[in-house]
Amino acid sequence: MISDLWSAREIFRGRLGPDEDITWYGQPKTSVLFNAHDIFLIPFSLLWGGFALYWEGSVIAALLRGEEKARNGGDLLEFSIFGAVMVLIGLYFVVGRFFGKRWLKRHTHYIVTGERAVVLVAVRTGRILSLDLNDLTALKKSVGQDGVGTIWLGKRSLWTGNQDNTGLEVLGYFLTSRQKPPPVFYDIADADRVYELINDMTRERRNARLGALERR
Amino acid sequence: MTDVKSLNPQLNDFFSRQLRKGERILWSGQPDLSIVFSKADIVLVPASALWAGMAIFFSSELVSAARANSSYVPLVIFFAVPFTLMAFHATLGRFVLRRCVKSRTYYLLTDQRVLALSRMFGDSAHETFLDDIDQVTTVRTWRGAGSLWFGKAPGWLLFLGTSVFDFPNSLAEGIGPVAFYDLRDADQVYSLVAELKSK
Repeated sequence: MISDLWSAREIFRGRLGPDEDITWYGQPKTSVLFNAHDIFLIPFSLLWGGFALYWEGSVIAALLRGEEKARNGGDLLEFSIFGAVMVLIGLYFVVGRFFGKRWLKRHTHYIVTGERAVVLVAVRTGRILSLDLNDLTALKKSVGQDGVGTIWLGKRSLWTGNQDNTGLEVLGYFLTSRQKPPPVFYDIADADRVYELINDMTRERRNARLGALERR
Repeated sequence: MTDVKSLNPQLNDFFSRQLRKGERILWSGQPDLSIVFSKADIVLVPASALWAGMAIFFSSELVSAARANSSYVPLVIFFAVPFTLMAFHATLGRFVLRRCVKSRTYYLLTDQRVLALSRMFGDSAHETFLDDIDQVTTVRTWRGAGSLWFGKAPGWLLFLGTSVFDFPNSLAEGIGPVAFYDLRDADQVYSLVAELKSK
């Protein structure tokens, strides 16, 4: 734990306030491959991949037979290029995204300080998403039998976060300029304990603030 | 008032693991399983019936075509089968899933917090502290029951009600405030929360 905190200080050097100390540090477990979204994503990706392969296979077979035009008059070479792109997308969808997810997890770091909960994705210059514990009003956790779980630090909107932790966000990661709130600690070990820690710290800060207001 | 602890003592351990030091449970309950429909079903039931009708027609046409010409078989696999499965889920499957999720959902009101707990896929808890609740929205559902949202909830979420349970990955995962769905004693819970907040 101490060595973890030590390495966290190195990773977050220059990204924290002068008096800000790290209370907890963690990373998402790379061994967790699947999440609830996969209930839809796996069948859908297999259908996509399967149909793309069927399409490309049919076009290549026709090209090998020496045909140049499809029955509808379309150019088979153009069809094969289109099909190849669909096959590549399908391959990423079916298999590649799990490698993408693992890669992103390796570069993701979570900390809780006395003031904030912070997610850092340390790719290139790094992207940071933090939430002041004073602003935390709704916590949510989902924990498996092995104690590994996910903690949502606030409410997300319907339009953000749907592809998070699926491996698909790796593609979006290079297109968008920032992460979308709220911060989420995905697939962390001992999630119940971290959840309680955040809860306790939030309450302590809230009570201290209320106490200060009452004294005025 | 409903008290699931008295109905199922095995839940005591699960509940006590959720509590903070010194925290007391003042009320516990579950969504009423006898309420099958949500308000959104006024729209979703006809829409899903229409979808199912189209899927069956489209699939039967494709299957007939595939019988006559085997080159249509991939279209049956990639289009007819998924569309039919989706139609089955939309018309029947989602009600089974909804009931399943509801039966594994528990609500707690403590002297500090409101918690919506689920044992559907692992253990999950969605909670908020009473003093963080800025508003409580009540929506009447069916047969005198009601649902409560502890915080500001978007209109579509209020309209969907328990239809949010129709997807295995829950459409509302992390969206919106803590909600207690389809409570027989929604009014008493509302009063209890109001009373606790006024202290």
